[in-house]
Amino acid sequence: MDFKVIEERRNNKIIFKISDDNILFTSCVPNTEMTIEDGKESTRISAEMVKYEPRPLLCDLTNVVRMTKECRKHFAGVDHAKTFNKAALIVTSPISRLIGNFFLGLNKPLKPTRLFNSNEEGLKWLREDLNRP
Amino acid sequence: MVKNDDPRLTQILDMIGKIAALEFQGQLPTSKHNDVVDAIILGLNMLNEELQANVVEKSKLSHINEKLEKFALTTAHDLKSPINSITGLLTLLDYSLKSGNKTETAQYVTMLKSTTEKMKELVVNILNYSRHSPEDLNIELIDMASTIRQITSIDRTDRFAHIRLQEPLPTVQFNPPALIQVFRNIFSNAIKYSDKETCEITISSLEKDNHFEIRVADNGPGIEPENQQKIFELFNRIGPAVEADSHGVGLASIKSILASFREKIWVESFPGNGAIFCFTLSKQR
Repeated sequence: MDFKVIEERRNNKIIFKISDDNILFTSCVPNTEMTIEDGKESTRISAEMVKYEPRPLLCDLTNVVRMTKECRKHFAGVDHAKTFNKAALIVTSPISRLIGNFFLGLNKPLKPTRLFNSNEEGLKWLREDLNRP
Repeated sequence: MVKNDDPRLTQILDMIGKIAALEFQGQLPTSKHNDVVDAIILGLNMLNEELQANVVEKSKLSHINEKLEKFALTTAHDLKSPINSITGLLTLLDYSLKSGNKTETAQYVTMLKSTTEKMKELVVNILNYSRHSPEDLNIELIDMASTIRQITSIDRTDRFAHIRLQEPLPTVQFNPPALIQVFRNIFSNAIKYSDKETCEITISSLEKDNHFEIRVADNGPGIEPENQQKIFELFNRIGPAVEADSHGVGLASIKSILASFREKIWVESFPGNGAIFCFTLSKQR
């Protein structure tokens, strides 16, 4: 993946990496169950890393096995849209694809959000705007 | 590979049946395989949760609709009384103008002003009450004795009843327009059904652990035990209610107001010995 990491942080569930072109990449440890507390903590750390300027998000959901309704609602809402201006969700397992589809269909996130099968595809879409003159 | 004898498939079918019957209990456990069946189970669990939330939301909306319907009836009921007074006063004013009796004319004009003021205040109170859901209503510290004196002075209740306060009455946390509406309805009820030369109304309070019990006693005909619950139902026209031209809305509306604040109202009565309308007001809100 063409992604030059300039800063990395992690907590007990999520690994956060930011690239030199200000794209935040998040991935989870295996069998992660995301609750509203995890969601808020994730947004807080992400906001610090993007220095409170909305940036693109590449989010690998592959290892997520459960995400509560409240957590999905949070990721679809205002606070998350203040931190990220578009989001590419990577869904490579049946469960992560299901969570991604629920998120798009039921929660209707405020920021432009799409599902992808690979990091490369997601990054390409995220960089479309960045490369625009 | 999913096998037909995988026990999870039976669980899935059972859950689909339960969801179809709008039974939203529990969630199916997922295994550690994280396979397609687990994805289906997770999907069902999520759908179950979303559907349950929608059903609860729908039930809340239906409750709000019912309340709106009741509110429209209550408003019409509360506005009818001053409109009747105005109609009567206009007729009297017409007579006095025709007969050239200036003293009476001035008197009726003063009464008309007072009645329209009362009606204006009622409309303000109703608007105040309807503007917000009970959760958002402004809660204030209310000196109950002075509130009752204010009501009796505005409504000129002394023309119809002798109202006695057994002081001290408590200072309570409640929404002022809502409390005024409760007392106003209980007083007008006592006056409407009074069968004595003088309607006597006594207000007292009992302090309990977590709440005050407010007691409004009258010397009216009392209420039969079998009707003591029914009088709080909407459109009840029980016994004297028919003769008193009641629409059976007043007590239902105050029960609804108090219920909105999780308070209770009931009546204690032995026929022939008056009635005591009791309601609770929590100390903490």
